[in-house]
Amino acid sequence: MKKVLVVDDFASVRIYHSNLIRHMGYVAIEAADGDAASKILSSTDIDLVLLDLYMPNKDGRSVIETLGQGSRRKPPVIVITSESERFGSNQLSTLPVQSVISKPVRPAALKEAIMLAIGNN
Amino acid sequence: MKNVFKSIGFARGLPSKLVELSQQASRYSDQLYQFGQVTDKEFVILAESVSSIQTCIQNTIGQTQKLGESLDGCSEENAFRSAFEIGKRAIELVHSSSGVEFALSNQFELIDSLVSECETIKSEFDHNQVIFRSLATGFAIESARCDEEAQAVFRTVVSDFHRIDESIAKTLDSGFSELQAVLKEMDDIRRAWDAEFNGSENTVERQLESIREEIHRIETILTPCVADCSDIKNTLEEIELAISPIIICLQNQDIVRQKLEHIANALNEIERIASPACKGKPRKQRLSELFAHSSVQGRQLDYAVDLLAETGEQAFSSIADAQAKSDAVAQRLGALQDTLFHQFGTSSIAFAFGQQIEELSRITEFSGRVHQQLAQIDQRIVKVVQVYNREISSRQQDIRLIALNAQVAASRLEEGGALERLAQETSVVSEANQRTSKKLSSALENALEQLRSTRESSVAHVEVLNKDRQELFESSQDIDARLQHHISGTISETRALLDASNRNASTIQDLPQRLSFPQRLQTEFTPIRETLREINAISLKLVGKRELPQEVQASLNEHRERYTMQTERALHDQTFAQISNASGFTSFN
Repeated sequence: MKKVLVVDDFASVRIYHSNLIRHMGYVAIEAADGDAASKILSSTDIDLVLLDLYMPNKDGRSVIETLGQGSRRKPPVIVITSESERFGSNQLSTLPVQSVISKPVRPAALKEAIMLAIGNN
Repeated sequence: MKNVFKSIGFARGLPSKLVELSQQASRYSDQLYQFGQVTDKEFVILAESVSSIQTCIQNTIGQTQKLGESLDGCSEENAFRSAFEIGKRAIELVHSSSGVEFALSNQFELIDSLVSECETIKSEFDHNQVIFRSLATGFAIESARCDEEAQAVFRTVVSDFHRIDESIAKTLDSGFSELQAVLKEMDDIRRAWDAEFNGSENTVERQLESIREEIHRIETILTPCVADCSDIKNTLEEIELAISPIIICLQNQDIVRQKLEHIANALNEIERIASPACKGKPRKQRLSELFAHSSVQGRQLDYAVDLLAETGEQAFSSIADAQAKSDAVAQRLGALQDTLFHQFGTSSIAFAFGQQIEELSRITEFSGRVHQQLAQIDQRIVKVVQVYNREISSRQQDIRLIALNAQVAASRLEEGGALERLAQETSVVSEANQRTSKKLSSALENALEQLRSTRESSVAHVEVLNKDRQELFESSQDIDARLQHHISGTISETRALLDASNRNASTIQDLPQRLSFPQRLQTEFTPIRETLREINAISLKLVGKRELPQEVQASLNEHRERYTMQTERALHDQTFAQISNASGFTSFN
């Protein structure tokens, strides 16, 4: 079964994303910050990363930069952020990722983005 | 000859004049010492004024830097950081509240799916019942060919078939009617939830947009304030550099004081050598010494007076200019603080962000009620299906018994083959119904397991949401209080700086009155300069010169601005040598 890494410092957001991922038939692995995410990425083959940008202890951008290091393959990344592209925050559209979604995002839209990234399970 | 006697007669008055002047010069030496000490005190006042301006500037630089950092979004010291984080947390909460809707939707779908499966299974039962009825008809037809006794037996069988068929049909109808009622109720709950959630969702999304716009508005206000702070700081640093002429003036005062003491010593020396130089036979060497002293010290005095006058004027000008600029900058900083207070001093940014998601509490509360209602629906479905299964199981036992009796009765008949087959078919139908019952139980068990799991996860999620929302509210008030306190604090500090700057301004205004050395330079030093010039002129004449030799003039002028103890001594010796070696000296008896 495909593994999806959920990275967010907000517990209720992790629960929401993990529930949705399990409902889609994937395995959900959670990380509360960039450091934890990097450790998991370096030890486990992950098929998709759902990533928040602004977190303590290494933010999302740093995680993106370290993807694919070592012998691990580089999984696709969907950034889900509370920043809004409308206000020109931090040039979200220039991030080297699969897609960038601004919160809040409905389950259907999130499911669609996940399916586009790693297909049906 | 006449000229010689005339010059001798002229020359006879000069030595006594020289002695008189040298004595007068010696009396000026005390004046020079005292001038140095008094100007010391006056320059202490100047130094203190400079020091207080510098302190004010330094403090204002520090305050400006601190203010800039508290407004700068990239700085760790940003005072608005916590408030912005509340806004972002509010967005996160709203986002994760979609998970509540998602979990409830799953539960609705599971129940829908269960009821749909029950209906599919019901159609299997219905199909079995059709077979059962046709078996009853079969028994009726076949038993009509038998004898009376057999007919009586099979009439009972058929009658039992009809009874059981009615019972099963009744059970199926009532069970599935109940399921339909439950489904309708669930639809009502779903519609109510959709109305609540979708109605809230629009409000919440509007409020999220408000949060984002507010964050953007605040950032738009703060960005130029940060630039202003940087500019103010740079201006202050430039003002600080512009104070250097005052520092130079203070240093020059010390140089001048030393020179004046040195000149005072020279005046005493002039008096010491003037009398023996002019008693009896004027001595060329001593006169040359007098000339050298008066030349060098006269120029020293000129230079000292000019230096002090010039740098004093620069110092006054610089200090007043620095104070005015510093004051203007402090006013600018004050205006910036006033803007910040006006915009944010009494606002409740974090609290407003927290309040914007008040709708969430309605969603989570409503979802709690929906969870309870769905739990009750689960239980009703379980009860319906359990009762139904019990009834069906019981009826299947009856059917098996009837089938057995029919089998036995049929086996006794000579032509009972068809009836036996019917009895076997009846057993098959009974087994089919058993399997269908088990299928129903299994479907129910699976669905309940999934429902329970989804509900537990959803309830846990709602608990986390409620907890986070509560924490957000609680921290928002504290954060606003801290921001207001910070702004008030920086305003108080800026006002203190403004007050200090105003005090400096009034002190500096009084400076020209408190410092009298510019006026005294002229009144006190002019007579001394005149005396030295006279001594110089007379001693020149007494060594036999009417005018200063050009090489002496050149040497004296060359070093005017670069006198140190060593150069002064060298110049003195050089002048002495040049004059004493010059021809034309007349010795007088």
